[in-house]
Amino acid sequence: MIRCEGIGWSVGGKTVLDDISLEVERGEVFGLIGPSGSGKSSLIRIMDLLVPPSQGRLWIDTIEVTAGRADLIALRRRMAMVFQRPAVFSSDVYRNVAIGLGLRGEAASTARPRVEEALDRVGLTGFGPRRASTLSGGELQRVAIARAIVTRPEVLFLDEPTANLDPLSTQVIEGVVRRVRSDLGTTIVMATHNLDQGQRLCDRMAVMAAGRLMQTGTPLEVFYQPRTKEVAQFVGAENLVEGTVERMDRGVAFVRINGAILRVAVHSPVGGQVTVAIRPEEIVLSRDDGCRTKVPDHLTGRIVSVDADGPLVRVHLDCGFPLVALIRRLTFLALSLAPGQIVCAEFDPNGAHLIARA
Amino acid sequence: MIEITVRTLIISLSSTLLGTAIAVPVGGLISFREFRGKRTLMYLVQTLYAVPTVIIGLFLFLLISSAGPFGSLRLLFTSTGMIIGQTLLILPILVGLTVAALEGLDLGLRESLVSLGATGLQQLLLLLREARFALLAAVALGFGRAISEVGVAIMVGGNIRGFTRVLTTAISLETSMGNVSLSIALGIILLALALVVNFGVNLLQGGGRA
Repeated sequence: MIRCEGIGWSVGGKTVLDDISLEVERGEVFGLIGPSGSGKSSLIRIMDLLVPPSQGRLWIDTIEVTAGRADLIALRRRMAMVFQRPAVFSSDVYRNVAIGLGLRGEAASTARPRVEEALDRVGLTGFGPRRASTLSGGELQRVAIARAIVTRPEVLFLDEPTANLDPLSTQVIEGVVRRVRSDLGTTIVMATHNLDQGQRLCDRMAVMAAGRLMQTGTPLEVFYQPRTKEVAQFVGAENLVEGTVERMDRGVAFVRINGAILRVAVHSPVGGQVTVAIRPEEIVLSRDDGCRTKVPDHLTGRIVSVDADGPLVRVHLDCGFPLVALIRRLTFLALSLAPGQIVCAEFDPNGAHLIARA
Repeated sequence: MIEITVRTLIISLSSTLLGTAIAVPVGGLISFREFRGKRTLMYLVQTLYAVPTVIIGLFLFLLISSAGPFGSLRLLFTSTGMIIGQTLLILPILVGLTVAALEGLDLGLRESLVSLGATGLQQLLLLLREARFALLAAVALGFGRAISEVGVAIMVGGNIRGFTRVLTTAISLETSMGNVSLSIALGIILLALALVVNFGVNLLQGGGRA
């Protein structure tokens, strides 16, 4: 539905987007995930034809927009955008939702049922006569979604739709997005810095950092098989440990880290110098006295500090390199762990992931 | 007195309407387009807010007096000439405040309209509608400046009795002739007109915002 090829964008000599290539399939929910300033909003604006890219080629459906001569207004009318901060006109909700229809010259008689249907879909039935300025942030964002879907766009762009909202409104908006997708089959492209939201809503996501595309894949792939250190860190695999692959055996790599040999499941053969990305919640701690073997298959470390994290405890270890484990508070208490103690750290081979070092 | 008041209203309202008809599209264009020297242009326009009325009067006098380039149009000492002069006088205020009204709108509105597939003209019309209260205030200010000025009225109009005499020039003349009580009466009418216009604008703004 949308294809970017080597898209670059710079403004005032500063490169905001660099060589972005991706393809959004018809009917999927595609997430652009990355920290603030990674270029997601700029990319989404380029795809919605609000700004032309500085480099690269862009196709909407089968039409190459960057070839010139494309009717931008006609193309924009096949798409719609919901911005991070909803901008509404100082009139009632009905008029705000109906704007897109008015711009297309739709008669008032056929517009009314469509506006009402859109308001129903976002859960604002009966809000038509209310003045837009009296609504809450979450309600305004739903008005913005209704305004976007009332024209039945083929592609719906959402730029950080819940970044300014409280958790409850966020939940409502996410429900609306799911419903738009399932009822209308709209292709949705959403930018979000919220990983969990990306995972909840997206079929595929593209992780961006500093204007570059780091990795594209399903949420599961991105979470458990990050391709670069940046992605690994962004998706919460905060332990990045340097090691060397000793040998491979049926999908398992034996990696030497600090004198220990640890097993890590791999999906494709790797060798040599690697970075092991380990999610902190995959690490299991035990008292040191239980795990003494000749060639250790675990890491040994000293507890440096301990932070409470809700029902969990974040344990910082010094294993010759820093390592963070996230364990249940009850486990922590049962093991009677304390700073200064020496503990064993193990992890499931499937809970870690190897990144080839460049 | 009634005749002078009616003429004053006709001339000032005409110049306000003409000025608005020119200033809104021009202001819209300035606000929509990014070009070199835009900021300088706006400084210039803002400086002209305070242009002395006699300078406009002199400028126009030179243009339309029988020796001037537009002398053949015979506009000197006519109400048409006065309307042109007052229009020139208030045009900077109207253009400047139109631009300010449009730029004062939420930037996201225009972006939303573009993303909804609005053409340039549709964007301008919807944004002007959104800025209508600020525009109305600009128009009222322009009208106030037009109705209260003396320079253009006297230099271009000539204060000809029954023909180009308006409230301000009449006050000036009557005062210099010692008819202070008549001047005061005319002054009260002028103030009352300003009051009515302001009240009307406030009513419209309040009604729209409630």
